[in-house]
Amino acid sequence: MNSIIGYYSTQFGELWDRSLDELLLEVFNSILIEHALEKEQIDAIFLGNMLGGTAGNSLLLEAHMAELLGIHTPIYRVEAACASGGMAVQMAHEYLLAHPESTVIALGGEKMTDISAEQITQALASAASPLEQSVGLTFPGVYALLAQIYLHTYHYTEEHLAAISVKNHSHGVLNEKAHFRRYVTVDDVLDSPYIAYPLKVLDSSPISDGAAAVLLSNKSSLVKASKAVTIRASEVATDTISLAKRGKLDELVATVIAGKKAFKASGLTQKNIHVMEVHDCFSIGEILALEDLGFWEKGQGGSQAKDMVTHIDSGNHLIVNTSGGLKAAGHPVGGTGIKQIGEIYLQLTGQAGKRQVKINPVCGLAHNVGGSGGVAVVTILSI
Amino acid sequence: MKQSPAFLWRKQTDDKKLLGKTGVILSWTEISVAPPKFASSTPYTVVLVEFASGERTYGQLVDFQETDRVIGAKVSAVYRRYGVVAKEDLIEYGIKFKPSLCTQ
Repeated sequence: MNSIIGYYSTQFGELWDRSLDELLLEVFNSILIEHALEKEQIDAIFLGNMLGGTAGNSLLLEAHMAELLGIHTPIYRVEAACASGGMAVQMAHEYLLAHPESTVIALGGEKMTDISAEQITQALASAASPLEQSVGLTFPGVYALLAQIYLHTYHYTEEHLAAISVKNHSHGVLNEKAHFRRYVTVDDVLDSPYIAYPLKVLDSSPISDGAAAVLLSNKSSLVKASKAVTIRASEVATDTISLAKRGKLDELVATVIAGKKAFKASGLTQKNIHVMEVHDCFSIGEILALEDLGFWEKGQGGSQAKDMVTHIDSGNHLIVNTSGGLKAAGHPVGGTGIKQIGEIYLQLTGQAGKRQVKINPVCGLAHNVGGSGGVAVVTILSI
Repeated sequence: MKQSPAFLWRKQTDDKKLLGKTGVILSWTEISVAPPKFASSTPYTVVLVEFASGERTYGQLVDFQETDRVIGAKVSAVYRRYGVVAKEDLIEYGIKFKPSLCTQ
């Protein structure tokens, strides 16, 4: 049985004084110190990072990390756009399934604020298809096409989308490592400038720097000595990179498939999940996620979002994006999937501080998406 | 990013097949923050179009009024210049869409 036995994240935000190397080193060293481990005791490292090649002109990050850490351990760089972090944990999980009595680290990070908004828009657009890029569709633009179809098909308005950001910002206030720790109102969201109609600045996750790491092990002595959660399932599904090539445009099929596989593998159902981190890169993303993972019926998401039924103070038994989500906690692309899984770890082990959910959560789910739904990773954890 | 002439030649060979075809707007968006190549053109509209054959593609919408920019409206494919390139670079052309004369 594979377990997650530790989590550490840097502050997320505009970290002008920190390089990607410093962020990765901070999370790696901190997690080792917390668990009194030496770097030689780590059998393999899985590194989630999207933009090293495009924005940082840095490839072969495996060797960058080896130099940084002074080790010769196997290091695997994992790139799946915004799902790089979730995919790194998934591969770490697969590694452990093949290697008994081992301990590995999955970490991810991104340095996004060193280049201009236009340049980062271009770098992120590399997760869209060549045709999408060639007609000037940006990454928010692709999600905007999805949002338009959803709003049109199910008769919702931008106000329904705005509620997602309002909820996630109010969660972010409780997270000391979040990029944004301030409340926003529905009017604030509606009054913010458009990036790609109908999505506005406050429908969108920010450009953030940051890194996060989880420690995974199947070494029984180490697991017993730690606050541990069990990985009940970690599943990946893929889909076309182009939106235009998909059969359905009101759902992300990769999420549907990865979710079904994860529930089947875990033996759990939606009713067992108490806390969840889903991929709200844009407000529409959270609505689609809750529907595609089978928590809300297709088309009901708009009204459920507006009622904020997954807010930490809702009194309900499913709370979503306690970290603040990508929207408020920030979205250092390669680090996001790790942070999501780390947040569920904190909630299940009672270490989430001010944002600890009141119900005693037993099971949690993390949902990480790459591109406009070309990759989805669903991880289910339990105590 | 600078495109190679061979890349553009291959792309334009495919574009040719779509010229003059009409289709329906499945979705649209107006881009306000764009990569450097399109930054001077913002805001511009991009539509996702489905042809009668079921084939789908994207393109910018041009020569339109607000009432033309709706899901379900008919559009036809035209050939237009794409993006702003440096003086010595190859000018890129591609498929854009304009409201179809058959609308309504």
